[in-house]
Amino acid sequence: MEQSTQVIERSEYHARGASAEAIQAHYDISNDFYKLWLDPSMTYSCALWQEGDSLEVAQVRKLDLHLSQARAQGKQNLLDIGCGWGALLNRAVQHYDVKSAVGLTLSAAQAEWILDAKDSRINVHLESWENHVPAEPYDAIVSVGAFEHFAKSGATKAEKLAAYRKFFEWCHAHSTDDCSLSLQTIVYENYDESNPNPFVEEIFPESELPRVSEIFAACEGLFEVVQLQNHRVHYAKTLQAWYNALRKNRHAAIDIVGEATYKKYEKYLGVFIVGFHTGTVNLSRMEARKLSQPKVA
Amino acid sequence: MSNPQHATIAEPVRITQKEIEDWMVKYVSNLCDIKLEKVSTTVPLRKYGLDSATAVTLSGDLMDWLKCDIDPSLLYEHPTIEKAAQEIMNLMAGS
Repeated sequence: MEQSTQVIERSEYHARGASAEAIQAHYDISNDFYKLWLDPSMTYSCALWQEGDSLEVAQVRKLDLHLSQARAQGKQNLLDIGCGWGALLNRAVQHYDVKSAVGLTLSAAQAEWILDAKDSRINVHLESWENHVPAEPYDAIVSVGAFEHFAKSGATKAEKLAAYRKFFEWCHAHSTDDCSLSLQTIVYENYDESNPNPFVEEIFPESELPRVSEIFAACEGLFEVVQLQNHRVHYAKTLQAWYNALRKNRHAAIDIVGEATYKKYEKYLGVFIVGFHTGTVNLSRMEARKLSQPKVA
Repeated sequence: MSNPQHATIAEPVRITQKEIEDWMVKYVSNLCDIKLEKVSTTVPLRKYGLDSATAVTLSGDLMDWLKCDIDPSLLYEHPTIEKAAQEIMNLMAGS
């Protein structure tokens, strides 16, 4: 079978949000390093837990939530914006009869990982959505853990809103009328943006988190919000599983990335556990349906 | 989340609540540059200027010392040295 998975040249600069370099600083550290503490599907975002779940099961449950919110079953052309290591793309073609699944990532390590799987139904592009020119419109769009990077740190509220608006406009312009969108992102909750946490900036350089109100405002008139769930407890639990696994594999991790990076990650996972536990940040999951004939644009 | 204290304390570390408290007092004293005798076990740690990153590092160092799993949000649920040490004793008794 001809291998159609391909990587398009990386965009030079991701104008509104975090740059490719900033994304790679976090995600390109080493696949082997992430393998030590993520689940086998390498899903690097909040899981959806039920009593008795292992991390692996809870991650699949999360993928299923998004695929069902995006009404992916039997769709022709699904897009995953910020596809990570491709777990959702795989799930879509293997279990939802999706004919073609396209992933976008700014991380070369992630793109190569997906390429290695050689699935002809899956394409991956090393570029941001802003630069992506689809061959045909998408009839299902999912974005999990990418929205966090769409606005640059220090952006004003108006600039953030404009960046998010652009995103929804792009999704609107490149989708079929029956397209549903499933979005997952970390949001600021009980947090003071005027007094930012420098440690968060160090881990996610150049990125600024949205607020739910900004997401709602940005999609107004383009996508109808069907439901929104805030799941910060699920993220605290997911992070706890990663944190425990990372600590258990400390020596192997230090061999791969060195002590300083290991320590940075241990601390960052711990700080995020606290953040979700206390409600400084939250985890929003949103289902939205395209308004095919917007009255205001 | 605490477990009834029916089990004997798990090996390898046998520890008393007082030892954990002393360890934490010393830790906070070093970290925040406060004299040992000025660190109270009943005052919320944020009063000493402990932020989330240092609270997490503290719980990580505690885990290394005690060889048991402690939730990094321990000091948010149990904000004083006394309460945190009590919770750790409960955890270790239950594990």
